[in-house]
Amino acid sequence: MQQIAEKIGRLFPEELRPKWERAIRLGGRLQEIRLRAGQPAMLYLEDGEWFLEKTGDLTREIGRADRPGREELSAILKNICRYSFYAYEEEMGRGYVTAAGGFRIGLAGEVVTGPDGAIRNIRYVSSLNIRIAREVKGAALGVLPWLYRGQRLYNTLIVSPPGCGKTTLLRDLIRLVSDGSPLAAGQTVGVVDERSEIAGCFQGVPAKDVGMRTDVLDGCPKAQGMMMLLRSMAPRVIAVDELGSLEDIHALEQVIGCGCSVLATLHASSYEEALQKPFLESLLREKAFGRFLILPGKGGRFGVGRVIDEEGAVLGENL
Amino acid sequence: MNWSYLGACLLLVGSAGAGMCVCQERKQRLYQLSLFAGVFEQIAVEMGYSRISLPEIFLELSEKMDGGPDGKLGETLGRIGRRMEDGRGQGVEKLWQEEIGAYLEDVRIPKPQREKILIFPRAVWYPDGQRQQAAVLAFSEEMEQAVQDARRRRREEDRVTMALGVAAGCLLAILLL
Repeated sequence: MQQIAEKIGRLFPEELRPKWERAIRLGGRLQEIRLRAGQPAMLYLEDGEWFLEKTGDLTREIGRADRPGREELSAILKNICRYSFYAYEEEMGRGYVTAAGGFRIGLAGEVVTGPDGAIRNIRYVSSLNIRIAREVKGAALGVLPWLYRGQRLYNTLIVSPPGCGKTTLLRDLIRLVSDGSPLAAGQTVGVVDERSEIAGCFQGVPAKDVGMRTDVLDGCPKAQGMMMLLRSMAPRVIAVDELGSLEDIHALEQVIGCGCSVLATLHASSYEEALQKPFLESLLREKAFGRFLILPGKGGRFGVGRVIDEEGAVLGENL
Repeated sequence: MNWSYLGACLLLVGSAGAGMCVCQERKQRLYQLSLFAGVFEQIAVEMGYSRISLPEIFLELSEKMDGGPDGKLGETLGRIGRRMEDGRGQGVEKLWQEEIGAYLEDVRIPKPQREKILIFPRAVWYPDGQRQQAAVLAFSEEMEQAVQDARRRRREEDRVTMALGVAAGCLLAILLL
């Protein structure tokens, strides 16, 4: 807790730390900090939304909330980017930056496009969404027995709405598969971490524990990254977050065709909704995923609601 | 009588030496200006090509300059880099003012260039790598221009200084004799 609080503290410049001190001390209890220029500073904890007062206290009363201006947002972003925006040009063009500690900071503001219409950057940043990446070691232990057939890992798809712990569960699964567990020896895992959320790489080095046999391609598009890993690192398992396009699925088919196991996540509010995703159709028809881990929606406890096999049979519940 | 000649000679040597000191100081000033021109150029190159962050650039420059004649400036840049990375959240503007400000106290650099050097962190805010590189290169070019101007003036100024030194020595020697 102390360690994560320290990492959160480093996001703020010296002059703003007294105001943020109480919030920083919440450490891992913090899920998100949302700052919008001229709007109340919002903090999301397990028990919901809070506002930050000018004194640094937390309140539920919107009238007492501090409203940071654009200068304050700019000071925080400068500190996060180590006063080197140019070094984060590509990431900013994708709408986020990754800070030391593995936190992803989403950005919104005026978008700058190039002559080809491609997004080049965001200037006049007016919103920051600081996502405090959780690391729950052991979160996947309960489901692990369902995921192995002998020493081989089933192709597994983790399904949940946003913010319910998909990435946290995926990260722990990667760690357990990589380090090994009483169920299976450790295997080489390749991770394509397009948005730096799984391993929280900072300057290429994972800030989160993703296991000793894990190779991470950070900030790389999923489809290209999967092919790169196949060619270069010979992984036994490939893990990706948030499947979302046909291109991802084509790459996934090649990965599976090469005999690798796959760990992936998908945004969907339920198993039934996941089955309706058009881009998943071919993989579902071929019963490529041997296991589906369905997470409960927001408000539910962190964990796996249901484990479902390729035939749709429920193997386990509330794990 | 002999002592008077000796005194006159010493006066001449002394005044010529004083003139040389002034010339040497001018040379040092020129060296410091070209040192900063080089540092800004290096910073711009790293920003444009390797895209590493400012504290990393400072640390890398510090390593390169370590043990060389520019060691003191290297040490100063290294201290800024380390302080930027120590997690206390101190801004580059404050650190630059403190560290480079203290460095400039000990070296002789003309006021306009000194002020320009001190405002360098204000030029580091562009999200676009190329723009950022160009902005820092402008600092290097300005320093380089000051070096060229000073170099052009230096020969003439040195000649005048030496001539004045020797002339003053001669005058004093004549008065003494």
